[in-house]
Amino acid sequence: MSDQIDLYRLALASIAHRCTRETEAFFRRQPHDPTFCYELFRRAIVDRCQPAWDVIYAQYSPLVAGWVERHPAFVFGGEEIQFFVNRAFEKMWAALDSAKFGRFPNLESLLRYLQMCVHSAIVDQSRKAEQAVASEELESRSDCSPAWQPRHDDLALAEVYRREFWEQINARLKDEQERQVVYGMFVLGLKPRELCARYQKTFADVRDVYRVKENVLARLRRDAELAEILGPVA
Amino acid sequence: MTCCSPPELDDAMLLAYLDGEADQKVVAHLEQCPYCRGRAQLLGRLQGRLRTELYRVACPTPLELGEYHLGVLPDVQARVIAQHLKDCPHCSRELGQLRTYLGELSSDLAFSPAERIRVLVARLVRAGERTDLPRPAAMAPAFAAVRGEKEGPRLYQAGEAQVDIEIQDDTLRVGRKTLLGLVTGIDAGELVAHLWLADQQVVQVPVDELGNLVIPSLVPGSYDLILSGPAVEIHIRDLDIGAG
Repeated sequence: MSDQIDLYRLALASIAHRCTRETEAFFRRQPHDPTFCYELFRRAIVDRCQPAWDVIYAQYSPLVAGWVERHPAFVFGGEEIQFFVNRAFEKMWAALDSAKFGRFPNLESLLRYLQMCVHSAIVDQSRKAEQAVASEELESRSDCSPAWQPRHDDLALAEVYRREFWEQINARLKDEQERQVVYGMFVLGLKPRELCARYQKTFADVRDVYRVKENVLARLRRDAELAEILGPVA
Repeated sequence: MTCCSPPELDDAMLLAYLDGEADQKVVAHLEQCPYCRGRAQLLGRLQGRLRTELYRVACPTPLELGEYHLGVLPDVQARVIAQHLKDCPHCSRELGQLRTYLGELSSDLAFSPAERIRVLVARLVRAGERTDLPRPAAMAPAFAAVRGEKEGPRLYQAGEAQVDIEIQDDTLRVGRKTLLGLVTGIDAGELVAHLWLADQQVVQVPVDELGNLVIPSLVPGSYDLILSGPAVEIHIRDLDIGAG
């Protein structure tokens, strides 16, 4: 095994070369030394060395592309393989820092994290599609086209806005029953019968659910502050 | 505009209609009454807006769920997610999908033990007979002729490997035995011999590049001998050493 002090002194090009050689040995199921590739990740994440990250991207992109293709939800994502490869690397680069790096004792754990980032990128896409379908279903039953557009194109900002909106709604709910209905039906997307089954002690049948929902929605429609946020829906 | 067929439908009925739960009377009323139909549309628009803004708003991101699964989240955050998972069928489903996916990809990260090392259990081919007659050199452990009384050689077969074992009295320690071994048929240079007695390792010695091994000063008993190398592991079970 390589001496750790020597690793720190090696030039990036040497580390990159050895990483490639050792990775090839691994895939031939031969004895191999993972410390060079681990050192690459250490330099990229702990030292925030962009050239090291570029080497990692070049080295592992083919492998990550294979992981994308093997994900069962990839075909439904509506994007090319390279889209998810890039999102996966972006997530890892953004999420890991020197403090978190200590939780990854070896190369295997880092690559497992990268696999998880692939899954995360694909599921992000699935969630977006799911959300679009859920609102389209409700719109189609009400026989009207959407009366508003999302306020933010930026996903992160949109998420902040949604959480603030939820806090506004939550603050206006009177009791646990109302919270169960609003959280169950709008946040979790449960149907009334599913809600009844989940909270049998609270709701004897679906009519109880609709009664609570009716009261909540009437109150929200009368709320002047919310009317500004909700737009032309009342 | 007013309801064309009073009493007008209440909001609970309209909400049930929007969810596809309304009875025939309500459906029929709405087909005829533009006023109540208009009210249903407004309610539908409000619900649509609420659903779009609130759907899974409390759910952790897929990255957070993944970090939770990998155990790299701070404890406080992990506890919050654990609590959320008790209520949320969507996150529970995604976590299950992640587990399955990572399981299927695990072979890309590490060899399985079966790929890395062949484990072989040796079988006794020829049991030893007490004899002082010399045996052909090629079949005898290197040190076999050197010391005291000996039990006859035992030949074990494990795959392509053969392991020749002889037990002799240890001339330096009364009542103790010496195990002499010879490994042939495989590259023995990196093998290490581990001797176990009653689930405890007693000693480990290297096998030399010619396949010879010597383990002196053994208390009589029934041992397990394991010859381990980078690509193979040979187990010899219930090796009687001077027990009889």
